[in-house]
Amino acid sequence: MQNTGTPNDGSDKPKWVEASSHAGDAGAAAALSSRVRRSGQAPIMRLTGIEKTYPGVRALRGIDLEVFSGEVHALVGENGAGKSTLLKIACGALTPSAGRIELEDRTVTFDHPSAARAAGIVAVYQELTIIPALSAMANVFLGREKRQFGFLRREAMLGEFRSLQKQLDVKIDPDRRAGSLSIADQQSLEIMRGLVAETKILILDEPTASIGPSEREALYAIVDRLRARGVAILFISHDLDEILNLADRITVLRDGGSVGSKPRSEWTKASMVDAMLGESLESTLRTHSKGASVSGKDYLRATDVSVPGKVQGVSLGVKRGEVLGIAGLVGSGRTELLRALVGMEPKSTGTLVLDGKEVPWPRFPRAARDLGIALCPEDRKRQGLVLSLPSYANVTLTNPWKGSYLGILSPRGEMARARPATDRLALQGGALRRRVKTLSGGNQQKLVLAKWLEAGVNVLLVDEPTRGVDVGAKVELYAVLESMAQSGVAIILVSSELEEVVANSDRVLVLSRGQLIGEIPGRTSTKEDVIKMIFAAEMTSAG
Amino acid sequence: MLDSAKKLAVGGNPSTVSNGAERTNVLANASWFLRYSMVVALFGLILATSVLDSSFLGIGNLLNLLRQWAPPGLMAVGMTFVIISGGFDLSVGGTYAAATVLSASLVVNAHLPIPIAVLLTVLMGSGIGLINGVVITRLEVNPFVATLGMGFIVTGLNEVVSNATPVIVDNAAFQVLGGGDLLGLPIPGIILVIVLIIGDLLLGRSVYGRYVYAIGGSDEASRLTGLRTRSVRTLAYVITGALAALAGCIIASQLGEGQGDIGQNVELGVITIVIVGGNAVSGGEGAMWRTITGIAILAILGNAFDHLQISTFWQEVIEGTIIIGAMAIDSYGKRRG
Repeated sequence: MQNTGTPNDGSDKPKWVEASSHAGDAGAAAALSSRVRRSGQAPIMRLTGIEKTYPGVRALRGIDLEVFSGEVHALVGENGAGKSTLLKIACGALTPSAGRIELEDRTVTFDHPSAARAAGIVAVYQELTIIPALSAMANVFLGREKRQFGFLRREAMLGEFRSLQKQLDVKIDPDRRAGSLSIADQQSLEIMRGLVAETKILILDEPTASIGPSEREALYAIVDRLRARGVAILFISHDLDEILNLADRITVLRDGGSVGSKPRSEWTKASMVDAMLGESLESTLRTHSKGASVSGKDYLRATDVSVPGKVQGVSLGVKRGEVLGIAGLVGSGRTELLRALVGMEPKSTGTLVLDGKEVPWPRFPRAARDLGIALCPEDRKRQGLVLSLPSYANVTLTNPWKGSYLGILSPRGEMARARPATDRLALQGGALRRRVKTLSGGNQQKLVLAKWLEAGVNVLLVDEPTRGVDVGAKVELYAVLESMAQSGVAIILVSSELEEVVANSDRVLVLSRGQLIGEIPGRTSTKEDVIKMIFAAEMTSAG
Repeated sequence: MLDSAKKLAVGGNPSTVSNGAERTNVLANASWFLRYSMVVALFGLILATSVLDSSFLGIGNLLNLLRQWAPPGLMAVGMTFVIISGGFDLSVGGTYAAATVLSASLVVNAHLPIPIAVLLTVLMGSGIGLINGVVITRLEVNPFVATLGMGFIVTGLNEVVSNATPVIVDNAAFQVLGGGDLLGLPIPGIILVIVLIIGDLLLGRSVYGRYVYAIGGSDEASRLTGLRTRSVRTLAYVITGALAALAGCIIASQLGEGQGDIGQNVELGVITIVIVGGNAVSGGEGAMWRTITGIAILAILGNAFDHLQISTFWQEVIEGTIIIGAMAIDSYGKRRG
């Protein structure tokens, strides 16, 4: 048993004792067993008891994690489980509220991403940080340009660019505008950017979420090559098969805590899913509340909806009281489809029939609102709410006149108007008075829903309602959507969490690459049914 | 630290929630001072100035300051709407100078009754604001660029039309607007107070004001909520244009002439007022009382400079320092809050 305490460690207890008191359960035991197994090699990075709290939210609650050189360590968990927060802490983009980071057995604190970078930790985020207007090569060397007397040494950089290309086995024109490259190529640029420095730990945040199957293979090859060179790789993905193929070690996060950290051989797909969801959760997310299926005519019928480059000729119908799910991978066009229906995609085309009457295709959000169609957008902080306004003003924002006296507003009048809607959504009374910024993700989402409940919409489009929301609030939010449906609203639900879409919709339309590829019944189907359908479609389109 | 961390880890959810709430309260108390820092600065300034200069608090001096600062104050009211909506207006100087020439020539050359002349001039200012708004919201030109260009256009046209010669007004009735008194109070000051009250009601208590805060806070969320964000934004420029023109009429009356070249750097002075009061340049946050604070701070500071006979160069150095200081306090408050 080595490494049981570092000089910087204030406590005189062996470290594993302390570690086990944080995680408490299987996680610590597994970490312990892995240390025994690898007694010859110390982890290059060790996170101990990492916590991160925001006002009202506890994103991480005491996570331990060890990363070894030459290993791919995968992090899995639902959205909101804390994966991204943990990665951001590991690469210095966030400082933990408590806990310790050790790099090669020295305690370190990163107060800035550049400090982590100098220590050899490189992160490639889901949202790429490529500067589109610069050339591919300029992006790779950004901040680390080879220079002489302040002038760029183009030939030297070109030489290194070529050798990096060879290492990764990719082909990218160094002078091409980075913005015109494919997402996969841009990702390669990010990785190359990391390799310009000496990289000890490479962090990949959902690198395969937005690229196609053949590009994935190329990325796996890059990861393999880097692993062989002794780089430690921290990998986040939602694709469990991919993780089982690629990872040497897998840590499952749930609700801000680590549920287990074990070598790949000790996991199966089933055990990962169980650990991610917690069995009880899976059953609560499946509401099954609706006995009979909704009957009657479609209230909204959209035919041949197209958004140039994103959605091609999708038709759909939804009845009052029905929850229609739309499932698809990132880039399938699901968000653009919703945005088109509320007039946020000016170039979209289609025909729209509401309650049996054809209406003009909405060209701007106001037009959609006048038709009684509203969107709860995926980015609720930027698109759903005005963070600088008080909570009640966000609820009454659709029409403040109603709560005013001759156009003069009073907080009391507005709150009285907002309250029926927020009460129905079980939003605590005090929340209305607080600043939106201080509310939890779940309560913020409820505010957006309350706004449209108050405005009395007939069709509600909901994009990623549970992103960044903790598990308890997820269940509540779906109950709220269900009750809105039962009061006669037609709901269209989009989420990247396929389980959630399937479990909470009456019917599920499956999209792939902008096209409607099928429909399955909701609630009784499983996530696997959706995935099979998507991959079957991708195979035929690829072949 | 690790001990407390452990406690938290064991404690579970309820303790976290209460912990978060407590922290917000503490922050709220700490940010009180930051929130009112410019008001505190204003009172400090009043105290210091009245000690250094015994004539400062004299009623005559204060009324004179009110008369003098009414034109920039009026423009600052409009600018407050524009800045909270997330915009910027660099054309007010041009509009203001054009208004001095237009109002003077309407009175002198067209022999129009003074109220009509003022009304037409204000309409001209609104028109410039309308064009600003349309260029910004429909042609989607950055507000900075659009109003910068508009300022040049208005100033240039003004010089062309007026042949770059001042229009002298020798009409005693016209001079009442800027120089006269009503019930012992300067008329420009009365106009400013009325506009401030209306502006405060409009911004803080009206539906329109709510929309201004909303589009400044998040244009996209407002649009998705179905607000007519373009109209709301355009109206803010119309208000600013109208008030700049009104300020121009007052100045023409005070100077007894319309002059095409007096608008230089006026817009920067107006923006300074709004920022020094503590309105957020990034939009979405601010209030009319902040603009009032800004007017008062700059008026008193200018008064003190004059009495202490500080050179205009040093005045500029001090004003620049105050602008940056106000912004730094604002950013600090945001980081903490």
